[in-house]
Amino acid sequence: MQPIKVQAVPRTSFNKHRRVSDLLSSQLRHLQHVVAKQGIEIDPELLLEIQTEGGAARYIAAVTRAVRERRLTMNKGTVAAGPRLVSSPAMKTPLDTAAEGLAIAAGAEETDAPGSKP
Amino acid sequence: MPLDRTLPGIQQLKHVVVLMMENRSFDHMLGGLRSLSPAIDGLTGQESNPDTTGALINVQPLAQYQSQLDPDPSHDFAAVNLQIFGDPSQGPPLPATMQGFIKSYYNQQQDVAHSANILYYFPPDKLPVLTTLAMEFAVFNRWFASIPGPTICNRAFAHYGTSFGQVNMDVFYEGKPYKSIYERMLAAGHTCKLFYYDEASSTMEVVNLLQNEPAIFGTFKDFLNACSSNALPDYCFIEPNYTDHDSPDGDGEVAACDQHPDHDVRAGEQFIATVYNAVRNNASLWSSTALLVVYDEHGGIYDHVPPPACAPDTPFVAQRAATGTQDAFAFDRLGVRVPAILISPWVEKGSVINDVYDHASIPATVTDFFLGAYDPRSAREHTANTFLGGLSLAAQRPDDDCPTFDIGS
Repeated sequence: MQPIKVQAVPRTSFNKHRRVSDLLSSQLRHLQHVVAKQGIEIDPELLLEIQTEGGAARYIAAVTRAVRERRLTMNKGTVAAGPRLVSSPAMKTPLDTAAEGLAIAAGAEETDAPGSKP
Repeated sequence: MPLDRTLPGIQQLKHVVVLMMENRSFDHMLGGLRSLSPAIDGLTGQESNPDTTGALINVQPLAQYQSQLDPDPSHDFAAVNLQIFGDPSQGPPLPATMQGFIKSYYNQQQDVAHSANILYYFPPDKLPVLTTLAMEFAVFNRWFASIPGPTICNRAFAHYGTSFGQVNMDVFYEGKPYKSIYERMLAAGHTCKLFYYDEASSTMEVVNLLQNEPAIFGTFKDFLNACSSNALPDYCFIEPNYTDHDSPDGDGEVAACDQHPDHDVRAGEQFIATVYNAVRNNASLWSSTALLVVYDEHGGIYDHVPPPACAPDTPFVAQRAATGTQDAFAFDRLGVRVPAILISPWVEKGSVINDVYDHASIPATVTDFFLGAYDPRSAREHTANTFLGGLSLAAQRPDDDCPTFDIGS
């Protein structure tokens, strides 16, 4: 059987400045919940473009790394000394729009009340 | 039905891999296959919805890879009520007519012409990967989202067998009574991994699993390496890339491949093909792996099959304030139908499976196969069908009888 050709994706499909969807907004809220709970300090630069996919991805990467490393370190028996500062690498992308940070959901609790639009 | 463990494919089975994509309905992606295989419960072309002028609009094979479903179609609990029952504020005892999709999409932009896009589907030749896999392996005619709602609570059913009474996206799985499938597997001495695409995409299961079980996570590169080095865990769950972003390791730009609107569907086709090829190109893995490609929910997009009732997920009930409707929800009916394909050389070509499944079938299947009897899980998972019975052939299909994909750069 001959291999079946899979179409290439045109470069024009890519848009890291696309506004985040409700799904991504929810993921960001959950990450912010964990950040607040664990006392992780966030470099404010990571919040500047959080409303775009590319900007959100930078934040998500940094927090995911920090959360995993913190827990893995704790599991090894070495307690992390206080809050961790999560910093961003040098950002090459210029800001296109005015920054809108997402409100930090400090101490979010379980609730049956509806959240923002899913 | 209990799994027949005398089946040769089951006796050889060592790995179960689940890839869960995003937000496309069965008819949108696979409905066109009815013309190729009448057993597939897809579209005849006569299906329709009324638009807001009262005109009946037929389904059409005009789906585009990108930009057509912008804004993202609503798929919260109330919107799905409108899509299924014609009324956002209530569900049963209203009949499930599946006539509210265009009206639901109209609500987002008040554009009559644009609202008809929600009825467009892909002709088979525009989705060569999904079409090939569906025609070569087993299609589920009746795999439904676990609840008529959005992504995160539906994905919860794949991880926990329940969403713990949640129907929206503000879910925090901390201190919950049932273990995830990963925790169960690890406790029993089995191996498992939840592979997210990379750290910049991460997982949708943040508050419990990422925070408390970080060791279960790996990246998509880790999955590919595991396949090529014969180190694949017993159970793997793969999440696609959820964003267009710069790669965290400096490898350039990475396109979202989850197929969530408005991401390019072709990127998802490439991703599915890459996962398939990784298993397919390792002869040892190919003989001993069952791969399930499934979608988390319908994304607000049309499907013609009314979701069935199911056993309630007792004791969980979502109150009216959570559903945003006049009804509480006892998790006693499923969400809209989604594409689901079971892949293995032990699956007969062109199989069509008609039993009812939802995402609780995933932990149910993995638990049943690897762990056997296991009681502390949700009511929904206890009653969910398991899917490995599709590996029913007496002999493995020859290598040249199973497709491979040539992925464009």
